[in-house]
Amino acid sequence: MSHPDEGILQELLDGELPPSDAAAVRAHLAGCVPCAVLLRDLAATQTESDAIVARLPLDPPLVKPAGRARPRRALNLRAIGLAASVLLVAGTSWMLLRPAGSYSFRGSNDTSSGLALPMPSEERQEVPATTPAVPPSPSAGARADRSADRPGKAKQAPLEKKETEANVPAAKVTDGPADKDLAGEGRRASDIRPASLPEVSAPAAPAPAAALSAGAAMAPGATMTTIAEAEARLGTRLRTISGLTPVSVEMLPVAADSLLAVRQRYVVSGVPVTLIQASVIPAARDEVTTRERDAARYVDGVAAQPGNRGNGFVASGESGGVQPASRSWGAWGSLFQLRGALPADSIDALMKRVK
Amino acid sequence: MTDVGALFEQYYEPLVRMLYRRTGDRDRAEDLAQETFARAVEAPPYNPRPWLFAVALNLVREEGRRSVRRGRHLELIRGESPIGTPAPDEEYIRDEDRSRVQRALAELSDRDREALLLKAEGFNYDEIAATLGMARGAIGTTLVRARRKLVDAYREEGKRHVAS
Repeated sequence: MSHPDEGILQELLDGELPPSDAAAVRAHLAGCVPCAVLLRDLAATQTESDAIVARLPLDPPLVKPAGRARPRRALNLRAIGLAASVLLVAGTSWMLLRPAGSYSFRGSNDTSSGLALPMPSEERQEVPATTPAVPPSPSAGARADRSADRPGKAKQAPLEKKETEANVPAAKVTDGPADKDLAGEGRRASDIRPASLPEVSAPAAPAPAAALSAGAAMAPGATMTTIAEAEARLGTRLRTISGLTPVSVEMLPVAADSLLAVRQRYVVSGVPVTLIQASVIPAARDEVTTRERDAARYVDGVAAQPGNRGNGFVASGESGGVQPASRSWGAWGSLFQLRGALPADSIDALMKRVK
Repeated sequence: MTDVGALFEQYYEPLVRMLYRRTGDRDRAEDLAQETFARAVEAPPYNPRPWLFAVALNLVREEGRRSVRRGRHLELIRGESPIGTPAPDEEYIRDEDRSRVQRALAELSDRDREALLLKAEGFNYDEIAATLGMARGAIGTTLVRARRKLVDAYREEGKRHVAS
């Protein structure tokens, strides 16, 4: 063969040549001194180049789950919370600033008041299950009810024939008393994974049934709690969608020694909507440096800009259904995300009601 | 089904490291990595590693374009970094060396630098090609050029430093 060009020699060095080509090149090299010299030079350059790049390790290293982070690094407030960083999505695996160790809260598991609470299946589980729309507590005064918050246990919801996105109603949120919208219309809504269609053909398997029973429907490590307890742990007021009562409140373990997330599930016009609030826990706050506070304020500003508000509403023409819209924003030193299979303007309307 | 939590466990650190080397800025690297994973949550990728790194590198480029607007804000942040005690000699030397590497890396074209950094994260040629949108056949020569350039630039930087 004729002299292989440098790129081919490099491929040989990197083990990227198919075996027959590699054999042919090696055969050539055995009989060609200039090429052999070139190969040797390329190898030397590669070694030196690798060494140079290796002088840029990740230092200080990222904190691994096992160890306890130094507070400064664990906070990383600037990245938190306030714009892109901790993105928590309904029912799916959540993103961490640092992979968290196991962390459990004492949550309260009040027995439900007799309502079968809809627990949308975790997106983590392959098969989305249906969520019967169930009216929450009839009393509209959400705040007043808060102390008697009923996270409750989800009853084993009978699995219905699986819904595809097509059957999700494009529900609109109207202003005014929430009850009207929430009166049980018996509509079905499925918790929809973003950006990809559920496997329509997969039958509702027994596994999701287990997922709907109490506790298992939550993200791993999530714990039922009450608003009062969540506020005590957060050290700040829990924001809610005013006028609505959440059907569940859960604490999500995030970065165990610095960041706490609380997830509230609502049902709005038969559609599950999730509001997540993530805040730095009080004990960690003292460690915040000036730099990080300034950075946090800066990020607040960025998050507030209209262009940075997360995904918009996507209508799927074929199915006639909708995909979840979400809004993420930072305010009051916390990160929020609101997500639900509602039109964008409905999500925006809900967002305004988060107080 | 893409388990984004598992992706995070597996790729967050390499992504941050690559971004750190690409941008020279640790904090910015973490920010960008977070943003990248946020997008993965929204639209779980089928071919995660190239996708994640490609999105991240695109974000670097986009940010570069917006940097003028942000510059003012970044000033505020940088100005606040506390310098309490002077760095001990070791740290100084290490920081100097890192700057030298960063300056040398900066001499490469974006494409060449990215190919090199991806290779450093264990990407094979197919993955590099997929991530950067290049022809696989071009990867070998790209790496040759990139490595040569880096070595030359690093040596030059060393000379310059001594001379100044």
